[in-house]
Amino acid sequence: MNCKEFKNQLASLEQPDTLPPVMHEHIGTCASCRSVWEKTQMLFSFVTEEKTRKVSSFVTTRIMAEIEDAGRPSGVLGRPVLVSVLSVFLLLLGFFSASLFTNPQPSALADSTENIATDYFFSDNPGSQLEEIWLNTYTYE
Amino acid sequence: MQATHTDNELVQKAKDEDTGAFSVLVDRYRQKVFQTCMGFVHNTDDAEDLTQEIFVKAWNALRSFDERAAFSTWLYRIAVNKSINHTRKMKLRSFTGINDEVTESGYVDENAENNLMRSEQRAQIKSAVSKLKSRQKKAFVLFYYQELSLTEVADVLEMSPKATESLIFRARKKLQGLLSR
Repeated sequence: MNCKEFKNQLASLEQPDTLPPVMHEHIGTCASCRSVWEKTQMLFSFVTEEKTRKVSSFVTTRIMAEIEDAGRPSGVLGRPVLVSVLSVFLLLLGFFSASLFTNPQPSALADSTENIATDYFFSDNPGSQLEEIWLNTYTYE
Repeated sequence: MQATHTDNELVQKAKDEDTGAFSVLVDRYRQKVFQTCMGFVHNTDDAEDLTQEIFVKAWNALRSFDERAAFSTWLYRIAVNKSINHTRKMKLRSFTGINDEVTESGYVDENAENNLMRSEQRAQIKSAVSKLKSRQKKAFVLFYYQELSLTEVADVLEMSPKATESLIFRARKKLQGLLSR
């Protein structure tokens, strides 16, 4: 048996613990193949050691708690939806209440102020015109 | 409940939101799923967290389980896929330096030199296993960690038993090469 054949046969074994006599013979004379066999054994003892670890019995409790928590709708989904609906509602309420305090029709006072300003700008003698307007306004009142 | 009900009966109940039935399934399969996770993450705490994630995912996806395969096959499929994704994520995190790996040794030995040698060997084995291709790793873990038969591994991986056998052979051959370097 040569080294290549040994390695192929070793890879075809499900467990390397017990080697056939012909392979045993080979590792007796080949240090390199002996090292490969030892490392393969090391790998399988590592696997055996890892798979004998036991899972904590609390895992079931943790899993069921997570599942039951996720099942409650208000926790994850409900709150953000409620917050956004409330903010939209408050925003709309803000717009409507603001429109209650603004009068869409221009008032008479605003009109007269505008007339006074226009007269002032387009008159030849703005000083006296202004005085007269103010006096007249006072008289009318 | 655990002794009398079959997996299919429990699955039917769990599909109707019966958490008690699902809890029986968790008890029945938690050790097997945990062993699969150990084969990928090699750390008890991480494997337990992953086991939890796998069962929660199974619960959420239970309605899509059409019962063509056995529940265990379907669950193990979720387990290997989730474990592969987890290891990829961890690889990325360790690459970016976020992950601080805690090496866990199951041996309590007063001889520090012996411990060091053992932990070096473990690190070498972990590194070799992590270098297997995704499908090879899945087949190796299912066959050796879970001790499933070739046919069962083939069912989980949706392959023929012959192809699965060859996959496991290639995994062993690759590990042999990686460990003898």
